[in-house]
Amino acid sequence: MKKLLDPEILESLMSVTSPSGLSVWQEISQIFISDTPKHLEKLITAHQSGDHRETGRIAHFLKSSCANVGAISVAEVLNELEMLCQAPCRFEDRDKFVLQIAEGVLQINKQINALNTGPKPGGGM
Amino acid sequence: MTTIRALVLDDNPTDRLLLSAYLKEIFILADPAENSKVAEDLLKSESYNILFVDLEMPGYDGYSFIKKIRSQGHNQPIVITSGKRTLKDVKEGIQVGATDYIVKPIDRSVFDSKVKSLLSGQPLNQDWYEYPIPEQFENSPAQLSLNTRLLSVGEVGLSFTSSVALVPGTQVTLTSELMIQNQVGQLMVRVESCQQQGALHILRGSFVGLTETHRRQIRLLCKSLFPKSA
Repeated sequence: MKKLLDPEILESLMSVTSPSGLSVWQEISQIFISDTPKHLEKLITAHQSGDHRETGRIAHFLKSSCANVGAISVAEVLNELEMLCQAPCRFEDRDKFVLQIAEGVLQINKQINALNTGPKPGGGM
Repeated sequence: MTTIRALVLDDNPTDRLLLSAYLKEIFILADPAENSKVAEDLLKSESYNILFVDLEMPGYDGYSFIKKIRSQGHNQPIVITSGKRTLKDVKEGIQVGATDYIVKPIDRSVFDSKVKSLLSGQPLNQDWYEYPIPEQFENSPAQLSLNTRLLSVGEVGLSFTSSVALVPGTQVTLTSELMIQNQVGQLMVRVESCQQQGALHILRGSFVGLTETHRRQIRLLCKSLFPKSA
């Protein structure tokens, strides 16, 4: 399985404490796991209903979420989709990005779960 | 010790969390707001030293929010933190009143030094390393673009504002919506005088290399602006 989470970003997130006292990684990964599937579902619905503006808006939102957990390559695909959706565009053109993003988010979730239940990079936590 | 307070406006909870955590590390207490309405309410009851504003939000976006609070007299530094990364986005953000613009994902060291500089009023820490320009580019021209506002226009030249002083004799290229609408594209202007007025400089410049077509357009523009005196 290709590693999607940038180890340098992960290490940095694990070393920063959030205002609640937990590590930023603990909180951010929890938010990602609980929120992202809902947004992905909204993205797919907007895409399938042909609403390019809404597709672009949700892609923009997800781009931040993915970049914040260190999944830069998936964030880049979301950026491409966001750019494409700035104007009316064909279903097929959006579709290839949406498929990649859905697969990417699924993999990110798996990798976050594996990381939070297994040994951490840099040996921390 | 006085607490430095920041308002973080972002619809994405991971961005709010990350920014608040970064700010906490440099001893700044952040209040998160998930939309512009919440941020506006917080601004009514609390006082903040600095604001961080996302652009793309459902409903009332960051541009409108900044415009609105600037018109209400909030003059603290506003930093746009956005995933929107085109030069057009950056220009528009600065135009509506933002002090700075940081593209997400945020580079922590850039973020820290910009925030410290904005809060202290001191110039940005300049300890970065710079490499010499390759020989073949040493004498090639580069262009400097400044945000400016036109104040008045005549057939020979015009007056405009600048946040920095420009030495008389400097030649600048000027583009404005007014000129574009009047079929005049970029104008080359030679600075004739520069006077400081508060935080701004008022510059008077004469047109350089104006084509006949553009001169005619400017003459028509002047006539339309001053119909009685023309």
